Amino acid sequence: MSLTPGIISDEQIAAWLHGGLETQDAARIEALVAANPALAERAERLRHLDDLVRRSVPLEESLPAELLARLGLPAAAETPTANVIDFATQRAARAPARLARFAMFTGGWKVAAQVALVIGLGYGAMQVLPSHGPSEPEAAYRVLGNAPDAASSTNALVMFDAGVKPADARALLGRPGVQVIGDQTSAGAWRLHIEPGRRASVLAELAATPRVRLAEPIEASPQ
Amino acid sequence: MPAAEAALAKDQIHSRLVAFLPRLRRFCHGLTGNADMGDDLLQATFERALSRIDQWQAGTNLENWVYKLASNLNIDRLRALRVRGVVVDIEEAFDLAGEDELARMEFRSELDAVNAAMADMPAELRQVIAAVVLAGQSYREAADMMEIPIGTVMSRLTRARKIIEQRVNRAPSGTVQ
Repeated sequence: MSLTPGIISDEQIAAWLHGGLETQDAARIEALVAANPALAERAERLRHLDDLVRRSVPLEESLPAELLARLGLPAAAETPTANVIDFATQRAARAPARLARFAMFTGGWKVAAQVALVIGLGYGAMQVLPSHGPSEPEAAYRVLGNAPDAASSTNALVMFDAGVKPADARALLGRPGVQVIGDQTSAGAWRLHIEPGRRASVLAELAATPRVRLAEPIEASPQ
Repeated sequence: MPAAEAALAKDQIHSRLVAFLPRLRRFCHGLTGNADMGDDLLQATFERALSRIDQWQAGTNLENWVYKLASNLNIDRLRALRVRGVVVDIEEAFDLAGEDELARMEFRSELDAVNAAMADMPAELRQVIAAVVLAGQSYREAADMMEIPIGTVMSRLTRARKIIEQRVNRAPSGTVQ
């Protein structure tokens, strides 16, 4: 999409917030928003509207028993593979991360605390905790329940776009301080143990890598 | 593929579908603008996905395939309603509310206003909101699902957001309950 010099529409700001712009256009919008408080305010308004939409249709962690029965499925308690992640919120959270650099938004971003998306990672439930602001120093997810030993050292999850072959995924994950735990899960996630001192930087690099859909820290559940 | 492997693969796909249900339910609620209709659509989509799972191409995104099933089923539902004589707004022009109409709008909270906007807006706008904002699809994925150009996705998003904003502006600021 080409940008009209001097005129930034809601459409263009929204495309930037949704990560729908080419790198060059995104950089230009980002610079304009950073330099123009009115544009930054408008971007924040659009982000707020999206957040309201997500909150208006909250993502439940599990389905009601009555609905499961209609679908011919056992009750949620009997399906222990549930894991909780919300891609919509994660995608949205990337935009606030950009906006949060600006001084006028120093109040911190509320990244989707009501997240709940079951993706079947195959080793115990994950619970999404409230966000801790723009710097996100803590993991957004925690492993719950009786995780197998192999998963106990897992401190990060990565998912790639569909079509990325396991060998390619392993090659992309092959970085100093990174250990891949086991094979890809049935939901397509890769469990990693990253040296704690390198975790934030490694995940940031991975998140910026093309074809990486998700790169998030996780922690063992508090005892 | 040996029978045992095929059975295992099918079992894994079924597990992925089951694990995907909460997100699919949210998408269906967004598509229909109504929780009850959303659950009906969820059920129809899940049944269709299971019955047509052989049509899903391994290596492509399973979730996007299911989203498209849900979207198509919703369009079928709206078309059926139209045939029966019920007014359906999927293809109709939709103007923003005028000042007089706005003056009559009162909402308890911003979330109340968003719910009203989602229920009021044309189905085609709700569809793009459900895809991009609720399901987290990229513009390209949403365009592919709806078989429309990316530019149309963007313009529909903008129109939908204006409808939402118009109503949110009538609600007490910062209220969500």
